[in-house]
Amino acid sequence: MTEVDTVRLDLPATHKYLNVVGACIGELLERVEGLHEPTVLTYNIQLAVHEICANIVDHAYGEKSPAGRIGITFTLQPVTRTMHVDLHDTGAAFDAERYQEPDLDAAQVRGYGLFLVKELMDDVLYETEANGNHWRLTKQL
Amino acid sequence: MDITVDEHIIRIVTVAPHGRIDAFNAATLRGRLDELLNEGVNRFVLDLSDVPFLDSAGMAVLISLLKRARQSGGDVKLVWPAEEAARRILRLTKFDRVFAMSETADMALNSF
Repeated sequence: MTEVDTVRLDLPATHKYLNVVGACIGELLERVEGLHEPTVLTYNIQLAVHEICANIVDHAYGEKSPAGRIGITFTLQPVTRTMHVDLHDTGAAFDAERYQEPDLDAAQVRGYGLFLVKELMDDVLYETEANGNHWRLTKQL
Repeated sequence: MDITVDEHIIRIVTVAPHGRIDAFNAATLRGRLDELLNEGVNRFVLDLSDVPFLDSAGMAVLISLLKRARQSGGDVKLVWPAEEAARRILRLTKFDRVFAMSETADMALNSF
C-alpha cells in the first residue's frame, strides 16, 4: 500500500447481494501485501461488514428494505495500515439501548451479530446523521 | 429358556449443507431442518465441513435446531468447518462448548 485507495459500493438493501460485499473485501485485501494470517483477517472483516449490512436490512429498513440502499466505502490507509469501512443507510436509527450482549455460556438464538462485529474489528463507531445512519468499522491490517 | 430380543434402531440424520449459510439462505436450511423435526427426527449430525462462511443468521438456525432437538430428547452434533477462520468464530462464540464437535461426520455419528 503506498497511497490511500477508496472503493465504493451502492447496494439494494436485501440479503441477496450481501455476498458481493464479501467478495469485494476479499479482492481488495488480495492487493495488500504483508498481511498477517490474510485468510483469517479477510474472513473476519467480511463477517463483520456482512453483519452490519444484515442489521441494516433487517432493522434499519425492516419491511421497507427492498427499496432502501446501503452505501459502503472501503478506505485503505497506507501510513497507518488500516482499513476503514463506512456504511450509510437512510433507515431507522440503531437503538443501542435495546442491544444486549449474548450470554455465550447459554445457547441463545439472537445477539451474536453485533457481538461478532465488536470482537472482530478494532473499532466500531455508530452515529446518526441528518439523512440516516453511519457505521464506521476499522481494522488494523 | 425364554430369550427376549429387542432391537432398538435409533435414527440419526446427517445434514450437510454445501456453501455459505447466511442471512440470504439460512431460511432454506431452517425449512429443511423443520421438515426433519416434524418427521420426528431429533438426533442430527450437522456437517459444516463444506460451509465456508457462517453468519449470525446461520448460527441462529443451529441454536434453534439444538433447542428443539434437545426438547424432544435428542441432540445435535456438529462437524467442524474446514475453514480455520470459521472454526475460530465457533470458538469465539463458544459454540464448541454448547455443541459436541467432531472432525468428521463418522466420528459425530459414533459419538451418539
